[in-house]
Amino acid sequence: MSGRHAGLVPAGRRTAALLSGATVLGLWFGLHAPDATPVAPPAAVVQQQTTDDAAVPPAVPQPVAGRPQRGGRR
Amino acid sequence: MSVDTGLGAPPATGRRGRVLDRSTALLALWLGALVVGTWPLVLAATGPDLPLIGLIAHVAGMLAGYGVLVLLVLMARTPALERGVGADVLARWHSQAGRLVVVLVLVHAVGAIAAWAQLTGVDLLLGGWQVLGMPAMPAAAAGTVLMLVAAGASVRSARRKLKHETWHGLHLLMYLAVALGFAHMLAGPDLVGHRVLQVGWALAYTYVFALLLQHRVLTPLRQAGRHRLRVAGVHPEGTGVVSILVEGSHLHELQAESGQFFRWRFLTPDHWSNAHPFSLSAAPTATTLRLTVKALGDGSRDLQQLPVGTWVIAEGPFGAVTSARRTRGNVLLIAGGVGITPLRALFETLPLAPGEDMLLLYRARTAEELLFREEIEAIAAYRGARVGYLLGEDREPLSPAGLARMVPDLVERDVYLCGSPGLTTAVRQSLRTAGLPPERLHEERFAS
Repeated sequence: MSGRHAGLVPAGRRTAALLSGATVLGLWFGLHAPDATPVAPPAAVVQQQTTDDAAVPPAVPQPVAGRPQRGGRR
Repeated sequence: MSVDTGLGAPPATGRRGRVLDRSTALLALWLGALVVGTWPLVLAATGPDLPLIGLIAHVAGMLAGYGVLVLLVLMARTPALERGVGADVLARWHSQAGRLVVVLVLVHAVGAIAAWAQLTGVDLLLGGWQVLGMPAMPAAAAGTVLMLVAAGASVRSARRKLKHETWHGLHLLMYLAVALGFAHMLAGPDLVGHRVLQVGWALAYTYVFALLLQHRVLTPLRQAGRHRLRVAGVHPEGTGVVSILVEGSHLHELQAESGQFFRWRFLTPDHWSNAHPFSLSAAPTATTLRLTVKALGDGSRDLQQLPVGTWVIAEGPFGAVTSARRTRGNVLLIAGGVGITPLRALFETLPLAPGEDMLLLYRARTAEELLFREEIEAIAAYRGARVGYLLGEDREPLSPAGLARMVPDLVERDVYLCGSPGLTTAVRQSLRTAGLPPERLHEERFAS
């Protein structure tokens, strides 16, 4: 069977149109999706956790004698 | 209804194009699940700390979103899957995957709320309220409720109490549920920040909906326009059983074969919204198709009074249990009750060369319950085939010994089987015990 015989849009063209429509919609949804998730922990909580973390100084390994350190700590 | 199982046999050939066999389809589905389920673990390993319950919620959410896609694909009536895997297997996978998706959705929802409550130091109730107030979440919550309603209606005990039309209507809510949950998927922490993944996820959904649109809406409409099917007659075949003759034009273009089935949508006020799967009960011609319906529920009972002239939309043909499955010269057909319908058509058309034997064993409780008796005997006489009736409740004739006695070369034949679940289970077991290789059993099941 072919759409041409039936006086309708040929099957190949219809499939291509459907595929194009789906691609455009998919791209639109994907490209317009949010950049930031709404379910991230609230800033206050993150900040609080950061502050708490800062209260306990991290253990810093002692430099090995004779070995140069990188960056501005030299 | 009757559908094919294609038990371990090669897919049918003919009009067919590409098919996806069962093992390939399963492998693809599981690989997809592995990739999708692993992604949140990769993020957790490389990102900020996440409570365990949050990680579980992420994995469950991603798998649920992927599972919804799988559910839709399984029911999209894609020819490659319908012919390669079989409609009844797809329906079974859909049912099993559906239960899993509901569990995953619940785990995701509860886990996400619990993780939020833990991170923010509030109780679960307040945490739930806060989550519900986030963008896209009210719609997702409404979608979850709809999904649970539809899933609840599909639980066996509930489904028994519901009219098929009611259940079908509730099941269609799933589409709305998916649409409502879509935005929150793209905004989830596993996709946000990865634009490529967001686009890929969105494309997966739009492509699957395009697949549904093509095979469940556009193709049937195109066939309706081309073939212009109408009911030409309704003929009683026995108590509560009628054959419906459907006429149309250009039907040879469908390339339907004996042993296949269509999903019939009769355009009456009561039936237009439901497509009923019924096998062809006679070989299709260029102008006619015949199906036979037993009154098993409200829907099929109403079809007994279908007015002549009713417009029909037929989706199909589906089903791979055709003559293409045949590998041997001698054939045994075993039918039980209304399961005779596809086998009656195969009995009429399976090629039979000189020296080849075809035997139809037809099981029914009484002689009065035998359908198509005159037709079957006429076909047998015309084609030089044989018929045996197994009447009564005695199961011995269907035991391994009983079958071997009636058909001494049983294991050398192709066997086509169609009947009630109870009968097919018993016969399948007998055939295995008798030594029939599984690939030579071509099974046709119907569910009441």
